[in-house]
Amino acid sequence: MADVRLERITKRFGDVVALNELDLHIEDGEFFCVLGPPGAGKTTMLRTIVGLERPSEGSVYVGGTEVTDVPPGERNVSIVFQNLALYPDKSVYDNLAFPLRQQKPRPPKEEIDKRVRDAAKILRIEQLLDRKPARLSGGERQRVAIGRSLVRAPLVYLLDEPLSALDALLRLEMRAELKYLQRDLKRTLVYVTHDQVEAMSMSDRICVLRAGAVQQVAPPEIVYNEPANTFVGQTVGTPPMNLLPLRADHANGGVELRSQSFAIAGRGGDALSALAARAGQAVQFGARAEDVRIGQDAAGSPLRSRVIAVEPLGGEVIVDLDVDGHIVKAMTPPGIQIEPDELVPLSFDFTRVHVFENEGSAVYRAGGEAHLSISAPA
Amino acid sequence: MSAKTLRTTARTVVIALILALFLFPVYWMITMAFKPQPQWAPTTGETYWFPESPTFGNFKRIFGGEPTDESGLGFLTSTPIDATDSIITSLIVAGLGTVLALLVGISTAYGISRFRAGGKLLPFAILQLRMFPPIAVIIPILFLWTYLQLNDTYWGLILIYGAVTFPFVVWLMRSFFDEIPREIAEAAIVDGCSNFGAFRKAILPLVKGGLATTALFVFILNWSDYLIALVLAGSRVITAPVFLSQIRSASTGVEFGSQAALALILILPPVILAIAIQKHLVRGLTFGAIKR
Repeated sequence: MADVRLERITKRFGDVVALNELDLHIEDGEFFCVLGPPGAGKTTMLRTIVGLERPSEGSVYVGGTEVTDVPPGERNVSIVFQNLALYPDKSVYDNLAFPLRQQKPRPPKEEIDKRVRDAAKILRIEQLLDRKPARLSGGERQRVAIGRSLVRAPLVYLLDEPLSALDALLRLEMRAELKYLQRDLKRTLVYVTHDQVEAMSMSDRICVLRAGAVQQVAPPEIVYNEPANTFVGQTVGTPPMNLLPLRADHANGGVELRSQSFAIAGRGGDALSALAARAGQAVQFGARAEDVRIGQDAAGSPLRSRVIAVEPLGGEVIVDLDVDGHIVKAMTPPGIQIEPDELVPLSFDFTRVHVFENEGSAVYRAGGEAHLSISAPA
Repeated sequence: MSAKTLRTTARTVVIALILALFLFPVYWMITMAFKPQPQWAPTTGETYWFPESPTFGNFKRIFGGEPTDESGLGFLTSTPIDATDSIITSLIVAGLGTVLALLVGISTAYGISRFRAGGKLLPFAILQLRMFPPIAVIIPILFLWTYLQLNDTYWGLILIYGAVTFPFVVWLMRSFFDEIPREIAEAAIVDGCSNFGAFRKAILPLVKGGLATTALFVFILNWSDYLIALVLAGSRVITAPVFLSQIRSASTGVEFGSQAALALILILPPVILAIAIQKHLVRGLTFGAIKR
């Protein structure tokens, strides 16, 4: 039993608020990713959990025990730093043995030896035990750093962008390995990254962080399909979610979202009442690239948009289109015959679109009774 | 001659001239140490570039040997001298002064580097200690030392040597500590070390090279001091440089030959020290600690 709970954590560095009233509950045995742009407070959050930073306000709990004022070495939490921070003068063996040798009472030599070799075996670095970190490759150093946090079998593992310095192929490999490792260990693992692909592919739950505040905590598919706000929509997923500024208005007993060259009409369903309440206000219409329909798929749409660029990616083609001066990216199957400057019909998959209020929070999500459709401007 | 060889030649000549400028005094001292008295104090006005009939007489003289009368004129009459005590005194005060400066300086440097101790002011406050010419403060210190009864004592010299070289230790060691990513100490703390444990087990081994360099540098400063030892001591506690300056005789005045011999001996401890620690006199020890 080792969950991690952050209660109203605020961390200030002078005038800078790194974490702002953070409330978070990381479940026991969970692979938990913290995703956010640089400067969002991800690293500060990890350092607060491990105890290298003391929160300005709020409490930290590990396994149900408050540890806010417990020194890092006594929290039974390990951390892999972004720069790894191996002890450069010590061999791989001594790097791995170091945390065990600090324990009080110090375990007998044979036990330390056994645990070091066990960890080395799991990470397949047994043949490197005599080497110094300088003589290791990037991937090997990575393993040693993970090994150092593995040997003392902590309750919670923290990893700070551990794969960011590896080349793409190695990163892919380590990603899978880390996931298997965590599954075998059945321990709580908090993984900080700015790479949404890592977050999506590895985690049980993702926490999207922005400017020290939690934006959304949910399993990857929920974060992807039901972003809580425009920031989450644009942080998770490649390309980022398309956003179009529209104006909400009453029309024919329903709601209409208007732009210069098209409008989106809503009919029926309680879900639309939130939209109706924003009549006269600006809103943001969100649709993922794969939910944008163009060409034949959008036949019948009154909206015509100009193709700006075509980016073939092999598995799919990204088409950049101009909609009332905003760029909309559409993801289409390969083999589409389309040229820049062409005018193509454009529509959306209205079962999967989102409407956000102008400040960013979601106010409408497709589904249920409500139905949106595209039409010519009023 | 092509432009390239011309440039190479010119460069070689310039380097040779600069080297000659710096090495000539050393050459002069070494040859002087082995010259018999008539050659380092020739009455004929002749210059001896190289000792003819080299002798150890000068060395014997500074370690209690009878002054030799190489001139055969019976002029050389002076009391026997022995530099042994002064060399031991110098080893003690320079050595312990260095240890003191290192102990205090390393702690200060680590505090400044790792914990920003003293903010921006303290590092510069420490640096400005070095901006006074020693002669400007030595008289007030003399009064202070007299008041504290530290005048002409071993501890008096050890304390002042520690204090004078402490800023060097802080500034040198600070730059070594600054090069170490703070995560290394933090990793040690997460691994269960105290702050001091992290410093001792994770950080100190990484600055061995810097520590050796700093120790050598500070020792040379203390070892070669003349002014402070002359003013704050010199009656009971006599360091080797002070002793050296006082080697003179009634017949020849300053005994350049004996002084050169002692100077040559005084060069040895720093040289031996440098050779002993030379494998640590390298940098880049943190390579491999972090991914770049």
